Parts: sequence; C-alpha cells; structure tokens
Amino acid sequence: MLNRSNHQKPNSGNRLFLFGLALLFTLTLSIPADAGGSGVAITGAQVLLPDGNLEGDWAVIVGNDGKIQALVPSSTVDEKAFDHIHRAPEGSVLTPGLHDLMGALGTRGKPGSLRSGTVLVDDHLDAGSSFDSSDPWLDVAAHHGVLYTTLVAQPLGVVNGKSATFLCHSDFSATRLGSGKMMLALGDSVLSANRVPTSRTALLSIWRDWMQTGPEALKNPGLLYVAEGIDLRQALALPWSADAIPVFIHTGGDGRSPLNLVKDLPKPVHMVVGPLLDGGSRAHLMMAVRASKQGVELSFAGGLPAGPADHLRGSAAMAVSAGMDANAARRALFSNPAKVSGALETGEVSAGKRADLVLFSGDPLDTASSVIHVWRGGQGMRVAEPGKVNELESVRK
Amino acid sequence: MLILLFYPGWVEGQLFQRPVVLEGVSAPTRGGTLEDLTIMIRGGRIAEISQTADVPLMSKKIPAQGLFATAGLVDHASVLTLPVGGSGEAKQWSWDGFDRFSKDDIEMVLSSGVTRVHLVPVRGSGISGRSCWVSLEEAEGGGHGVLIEEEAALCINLSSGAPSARIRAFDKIVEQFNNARDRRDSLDSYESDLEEYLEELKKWVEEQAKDGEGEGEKSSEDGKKDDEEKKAPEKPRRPDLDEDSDILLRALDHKIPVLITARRSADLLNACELIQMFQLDAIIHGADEAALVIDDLKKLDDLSFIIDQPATSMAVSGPGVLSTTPRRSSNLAALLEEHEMDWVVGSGGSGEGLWRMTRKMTGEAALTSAQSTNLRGLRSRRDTLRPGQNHIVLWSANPATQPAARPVKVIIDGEVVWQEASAARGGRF
Repeated sequence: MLNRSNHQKPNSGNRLFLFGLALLFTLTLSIPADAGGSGVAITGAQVLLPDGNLEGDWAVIVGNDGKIQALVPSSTVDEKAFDHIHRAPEGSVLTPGLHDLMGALGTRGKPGSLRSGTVLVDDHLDAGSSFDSSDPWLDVAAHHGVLYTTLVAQPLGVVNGKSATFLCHSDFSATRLGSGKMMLALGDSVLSANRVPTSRTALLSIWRDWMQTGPEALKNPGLLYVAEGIDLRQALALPWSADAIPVFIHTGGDGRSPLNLVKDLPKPVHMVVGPLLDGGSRAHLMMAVRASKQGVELSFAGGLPAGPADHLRGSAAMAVSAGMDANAARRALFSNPAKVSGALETGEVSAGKRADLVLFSGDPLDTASSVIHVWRGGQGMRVAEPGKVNELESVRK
Repeated sequence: MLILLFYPGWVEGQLFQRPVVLEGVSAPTRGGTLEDLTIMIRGGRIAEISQTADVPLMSKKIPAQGLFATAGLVDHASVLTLPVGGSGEAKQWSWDGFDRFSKDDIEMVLSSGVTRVHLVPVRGSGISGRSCWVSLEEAEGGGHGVLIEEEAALCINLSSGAPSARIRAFDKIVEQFNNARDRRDSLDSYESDLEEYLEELKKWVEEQAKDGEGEGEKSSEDGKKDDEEKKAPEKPRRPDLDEDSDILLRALDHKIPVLITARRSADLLNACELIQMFQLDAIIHGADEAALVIDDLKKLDDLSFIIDQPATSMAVSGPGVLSTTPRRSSNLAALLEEHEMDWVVGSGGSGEGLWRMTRKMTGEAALTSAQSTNLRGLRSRRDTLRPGQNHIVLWSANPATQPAARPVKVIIDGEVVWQEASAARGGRF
C-alpha cells in the first residue's frame, strides 16, 4: 500500500497533523444529532483526502439523504447506532467516484449528437440535451468506479453552450449535477470553409471583439478548448480577467505548449489532458507531467465507452510512472474533475458532499487494485468479480 | 611504490579495473526489503551485493542513495519498433524489422524498466516469422539494441481474422509442415538415390572402359545396340532450396520452439491439435480463453504460456453486445498457476506498459512474477538481482509494494543507459 509519508515534504508532518486535528474537531461537531440510528457507516478503509493523500482509520458516515454526514475516526463509531456497517477489507481505499470528462458516456456512443457551430457564439446550447439516462454503459462504467460523466458539445464554435454532468446510473430519470460550464474554443476546430472564421487570424479577431463586449459567458471560468500548443499560446495572449481564467482543455499538447506562460497565471490553474494510453504520444505525456510539476492542476480526459474501462486510472498510473506526483495524480482522478465540471457537490469524501463512493481493493493508482463496492447517492452496490468465461465458442476447426 | 611492489594486484584493480559502485540502495526480497546495500559491478556484471562491502578507492560511483534496485524487466512478447500486420513467412526475422535508431521508442521502454525484449513478429494469420532476443544496451555504431539470441522461436498466429480465415490459416500451416516433412523425405531419398547413382556411375564408367578396349571387334549394328543398353545413369534431381521449409524442419526437429498466438478457445484447440500433430515444443501466446479448454491444454507436455492483457474498449463487451473479441478470464495467471503451468507476462506491445500490466495481472506478486525463470520451451531471460547479473534498474520506491514507484536509472553492463531527466547525472569519479 502506498505510504503517505513517502510523498510529503519533510516538514509537512506537523502541518498535516494540525490539519487533521482541526478537521476531526470540525467534523465531529458537524455530525447531526440524529446520525445514530440511521444511515451507513463505512469503516476500515483508507480514505482519499481532497489533497490526494490517503489516510487510514477513518469511518465515513452516510446519511439517508444520500450525502456524507461525517468523516470520523473509526474508533469513535458506535456500530449499534447504524442501520448498516460496511467493514472494508484491509488495505482497501475509499474514494469519490471517477469522472469521465468529455467522453460519450450517456449518449449511447453517439457523440455526434453534440454538434455545435452553426451559431458561432451559442450561449443556449445545452450538452445535457443529448444525455440518454437509459444508456446501459452508464451502469457498466459505474461497476468500474466511473460515477460521473461530463458531456460537452463539439468545439466547432467560439461558444458551444454549457457542459452537463450526470451521475452514471442507467435509469429512466437522469441525475444532473452542477449547472455546467460554458464550453469555449480557440483552435482549428472552429475554422470552416463555409462560414467565418476561415482563418486563424479572423478567429483571433472575433475572439478579441467578442471579449471587448464583456460577454456574460466570460463572467465565470469556463472550459476553453485549446488542443494544440499554438492554441494555448494565442489564448493566453487574450485579456482574461483574473477571476475568470478558464480550464484549459489541452488534449493535444506537447513540447511546444507554452507552460512557462501558464505558470504565471493566478493559481489554481486547471488543465485537462489525455487520455494517456500505452503506445500514445510520449510528448503529450511529458507535457502533462511537466505541467503538473509546475503546479498546474490536471484532470484526465475520458473516452468511454470507446476506451478501456479503466483508462482513467491507467492515465494516472502512466503519468506517475513518468514522474507525476502521486497525490497530484489522485487529485487529477477525483477532486479536480469535479472542479473542472462545476459539479462541486462531488469529488471529495467530506461532510455535505454526495455519497458517491468507490471502494477499491488498494490504491486506485495501482493497476492491481480493483473495485469492490460502489455507492451512488448512498445506495450501495457490490461489484462482483468479473464473470468467468463459461461458453465454448461454437466455431472451431 | 611499496604498495605497488607488495600489492600489485590491488593497484591494478584500483587503476585499471575500476568497479562501478551503487551505494545505499535497497533491494526488495520475497520476505521484505534489504536496506543500505552496496552493489559492486566489475566487468559490467554484479560482483558483490553486500551491506559491508569494501568499496575500492578509485571506483566509479553512480548516485543511488535511497533507491531500490531490481534486475531489469524482461518483455517476453514485444513488437518494439517492428512493423505490424501484412503477411508473414518463416524466413522473416524480427531482428530485420528492429530499428535500433528509434531512440524515442526505445528510451520509452527503458524508462519503464524493461531492458530485454523478445521481439515477436506480428503478422496476419499463419506463420509470422522468427523471433529473437534483444538487449536494449547501447550498440556499437550507435543506437540501442544488441542481439543476444538469434533464433528464439518460430512464430505462428492462429488468432487473427474471421473464423473462416482462421480455419484456412490452420489448414495452410498443417500443409506447410507436411510439405516440410515431405521435403525432408525427399532430401533423405535424394541422399540414398545419389549414393546409388554414384555406384551405378562408377560401374558404367568401368564398363565403358572395358567396351573401349574391345570396340574394334564389334560390328556397327552391335554398337548401336550397346549404346542403348549402356546409357549413362540419370543423376537424381536435388530438391530445390526452400528456406521456409528448412526453418519448419528445425522446429519439427525440436531445434527451435514454436510460439503460437491463440486467444479464443477455438484457436487454443487448434493450437493443441497442431502441437500434437507435429510433436512441437510449444509456447502459447495469449491464451485468453484458456479456462475453457484447460483440460485439453493439460494433456500437452511441457507447454508454457506468455500471457498479456490487451487494452480493449469497454464497448466491446457489455449489455447487448455480440462480441467477437476473446473473453478473457480475470484470473488467468492464477488459473495457470493452479494447474502448474509455466507462464510469464509479455506486453504484446512495445513494452512500456509491461510493469503496469504485470501488476494488474499478478498484483502484489508482480515482482516475483517478473523475476521468475520457470519458463520451459522458450529461453526466458528473466533473472533476479544477484552476482553475475548485468541489467539493473534503480526505482524511486519499492516496486513490490508501492504502485507509485518508477524507474529512475537503468544500468546495463555498468553503464547508465537511461536516467530520469531530473535525476543527477550518473557516473562520477
């Protein structure tokens, strides 16, 4: 199991201890008086903290309202006071749900339905309109710990409507999380031979003119699709206000990406990279690691259902192998995507957040770990071992 | 001067055979971890691993304090820099397709701790070619990659294409092996025919000589008759050269093993049939659906496996999907272990994800699996960290227990062949 102390700076122990004490005090006080006698207590697992550390000896109290009521020391839990106690196996790790960012999960594999671009600045497009809550892949993804999907329209216009985040649950009704973020784009994907802009110069001119109007879409941080290094460079040359720095969707970055310019932006700067796959671009992988080392908060782009079910964790494991800090990689898997998508009630195991939890057999960065149990809105679901192959193929020589 | 006189060996050792020394390293063991070790390398190979080693004065020190040392990882099925696809034949050789100047690709693999690769040609259905073993050390004349075993195995792919194509491929392979056998028969009969021919020729020459002596006494009619009777014996025709068949004959004669890629149960049964039909020394690569045909596989002697876990789309196996991809047992390694079958892990790709794949398939036992040497048939290159070893990987943390561990330096023959960009430069005096 990953030893937390190996990933801290030498003098951070005392600081963490004080933080832990303060957290313990706050959370203990915050347990509602009626916490006993109802809900679920999950004990015995290490818990992923928002900073990416893994801490043992905590119990997570889940209320009947589907939210996390408290995070308390395991030793203080009165097991008789709960409807159900879930004792996690030794070495297991409890995390928030994984998050498939900008894939096609929930569209029955038809991302084409998210096309935009007929209107260059489309504030009203809602990516959520293409979500199909009966998509069976949602439940399949949940079995692999992927509990959220964020959909965006294809970045064919300057403004491509709002993103939409949903709980991965194949059902008649959809559970939408957060209000979404405006999806902006600056790059070749916006150019078209049939309408303006037909050139990058024209695109930049449109961007500058539009920004000067002080649009509503730029009042809050949005998602900015800048796939290539040149896109990011030109985007950084635009006059962004300090409180509306967008999340950079930089999935095609490489050694030419102007990370030296990014690091000068007010912190935290969020960037979406990947997905990282074996045999993929080493230049992109190293760009991502370099960005992380410079303090950029990363999230890994999703690719379900087309990609491998565990590709998010695979991306993180690859990045760690290439030098990314393990805590930063865990943040990239869990807490950062929640911030990127604006689904702020998710992404952390802390009081008041949704009880969308995944119990892994070990550190989620370890490819050897598997999903043992999943909770969606406090509703538990045991994840069975993958089925054995039991049907002989009919065609043979 | 006195030292030179009294201890010439020591002086020679200090001055001319500078050992390479790694100090303060830890080494994962089956039971735990050995700490504060000194690894001394002489002549490129580990000479001593000890906590009390006496470090020579003039040794070359590679900074390794606090790092974990293991032997280099071995990829038993790699396609590093090889062209993939197209049609193959026995005489194709994976070394011919290896690009030792493909620096980025090779460094990517080295950076994952892999130092030796078994290059397996991947072609369409049928015979793909011959594999070889390559050490990823720096080569003379530039680039990386030194051939350490020329002809490792004859590779056969039974797993590609539609079922009908796989059936045709199987039939063709059987035909090729039968043709190789026929060729050997015809070579054998050619040898005996040649001996007979030489004897007949000798007799004929002798008879011709005798006839020459009494030639003047015979009439012209008799001469014609004799010419017909005493025609020179016909020389047997030597079978044409056929390199492909010769390679197949080496496999039939157990001089090289056969590596059969078979993933579905049907392919595995075909592989079993082929192995039994020609009594091949075989290794099966893939074996995804081995659970279904384990009894058939157990009937074969000395069968070993190279297993992997290819990344497949989530969409290929799920609700309502009629999938044609092999249905892989999640516990394949455990299954083979349970049935006492030898297995190793091969990436099936370029090798950079080998360690993650091994961890995924074998969990905490990954390092043990990665360093086992119990593969029969194909010569395994896996080894542990021990004296005599010349491939060393230094990790940032204990790879046996910590998933965030990553290679920091790779040392082959005492030279740092790769190191993390941020790490200190190796090799100082």
